[in-house]
Amino acid sequence: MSDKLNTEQLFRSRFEGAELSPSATSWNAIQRKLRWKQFLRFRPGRFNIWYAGALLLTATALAVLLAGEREPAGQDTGEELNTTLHQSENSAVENTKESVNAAGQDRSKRMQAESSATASEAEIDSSAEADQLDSLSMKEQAETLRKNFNETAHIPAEAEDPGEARAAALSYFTTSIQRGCVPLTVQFTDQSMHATAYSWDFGTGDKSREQNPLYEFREAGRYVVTLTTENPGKLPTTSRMMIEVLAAPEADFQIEEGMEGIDNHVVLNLVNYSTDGSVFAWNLVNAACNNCSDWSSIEYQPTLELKSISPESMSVRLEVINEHGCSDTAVRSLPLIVQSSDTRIKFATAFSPNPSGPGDGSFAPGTQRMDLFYPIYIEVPVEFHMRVYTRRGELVFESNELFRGWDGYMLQERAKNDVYVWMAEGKWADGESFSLHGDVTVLGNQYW
Amino acid sequence: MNSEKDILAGCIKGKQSAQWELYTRYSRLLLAICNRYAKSLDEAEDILQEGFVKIFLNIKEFKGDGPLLAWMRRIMINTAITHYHKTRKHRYHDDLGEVSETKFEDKGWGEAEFTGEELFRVIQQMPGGYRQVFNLYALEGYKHREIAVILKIDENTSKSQYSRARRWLQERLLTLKEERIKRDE
Repeated sequence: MSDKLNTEQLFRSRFEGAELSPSATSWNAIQRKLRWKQFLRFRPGRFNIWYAGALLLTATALAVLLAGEREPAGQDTGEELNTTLHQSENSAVENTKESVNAAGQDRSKRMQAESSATASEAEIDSSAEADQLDSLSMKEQAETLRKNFNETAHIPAEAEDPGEARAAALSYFTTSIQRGCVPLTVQFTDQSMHATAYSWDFGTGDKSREQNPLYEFREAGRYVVTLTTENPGKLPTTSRMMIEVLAAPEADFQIEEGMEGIDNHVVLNLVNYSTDGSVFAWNLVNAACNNCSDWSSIEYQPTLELKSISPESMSVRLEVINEHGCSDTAVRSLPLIVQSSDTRIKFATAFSPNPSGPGDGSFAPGTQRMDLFYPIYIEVPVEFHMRVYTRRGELVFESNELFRGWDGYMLQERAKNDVYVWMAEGKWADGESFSLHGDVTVLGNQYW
Repeated sequence: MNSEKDILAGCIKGKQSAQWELYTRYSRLLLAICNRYAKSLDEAEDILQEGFVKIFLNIKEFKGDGPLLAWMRRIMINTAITHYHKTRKHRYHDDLGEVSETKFEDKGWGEAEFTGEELFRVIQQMPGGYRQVFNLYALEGYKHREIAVILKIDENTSKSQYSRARRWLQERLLTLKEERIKRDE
């Protein structure tokens, strides 16, 4: 029986220490629920629903009071306002006081409830009920609020002067856009009633006193824009709006000349240095027409092969778009080296040295030689210097003379059949210099 | 932020980094436990999330009189049971599943006879009433007296439910074994 397990042991042995990975969204869900619960809980010294409720209550009571109160003709000092506020002991003030008291009582009840629930398990079970309590007293508060409002709303109707003068002073504004890519220029339009002075706070530290300011947000972020208006005979009022400025990507790249391919293609590596992009669109553009080349790519780092184009006016354009849909574009013109190397001078890719022995390497301009390595000039440079190396970097040939090529011999010995690397630099008659490199293969004796 | 003490202190202060540490350390273990009580993995994750919220909110109540994991485990199980009670109305008929009254001996099982996967599926198929009692008694080591309180049932009901659960399990395991033999033939 010792190697046999009973049913409990069987399950315990299999399940003890078992693990299961929660999904990736679980953590966020926990934090979300946690924040909400914390908000619902009363805690002194922290903003939560109790404070939010009290705030809402006082704000509404104040707004109702101000709206209902008759405007003192011509007198608009704050002190005057305050005294009238105190003098008008109408039901609204009473009601507010009462409801604030009620809220306070609720709060202390709740505190007692919290402190009495000490045992951890008991507390956990009771927390669900406590939540219900929360929403219940919320409802009560809302109820009082509504009552308040209804009662005080009658007061202005009974007032003598129902004209424009007692219309509510509200600050209010609209914007041309609320969410957009950085830099975001926003036109703010004041829609307040009866306002005499405006003070805008863009949430960036910048302020304005214009009625309808135009403002540019230069950094990504969320900004609360506040408009405070001064109203004759009433307290200043405030209105807020959130402007969301989305981060934009930065397009940046460099064109690097890669190895020269066969058939004299030039391979250009487009090296991407963009930041914060998710979509990349590459195009070849021309000064004359914007999209006349059919080359385009959506790779992160494409290579561009050039054959027979007229590159003097060609550029590569990169448009980068990020996940918000914000974009940036960079344009770089193709390097001039493409132009000079491809059209003015050419080099052979292979040759076969004369097996009978070394020569002096000189050749007559315009001739074609199979036994020498030399450049074919389409345009003759004014300065020229060429070196040939083995693949290990040993110099095997060097020449400053335009019409002397490499005969394929190192000292008196024929170079092995292999690939050699050449470098050529010089200057054209128009003053432009060139610096080229490539490789050349020394072949067997098939031409002899 | 390495030792459990540091994590605990951070969680009491409400630091998110400490909460994250605690979560990464224990969530997998606790999810496996929740999964034994839930009808689906989704439900298990709900329980896990709810449990962690309770843990973070109440962590200052943890007296340190036992391992933190045991405390967290208890919270998870309580949450799972609350969840079970909330959804039980719709599933109550499950509990009436009939079990044959034939006596049968627990001959014992080889340790490698079933995979964890198979055993888990058996637990998951178990009628709700049996399942919670079996989980609590056999796997968590609660006493019938405690189970009666947790599940709000009579202590005797817990005992009888448990013996039925056990028989139900044994039958299932035997069927599994027979099915496998048939398949192999």
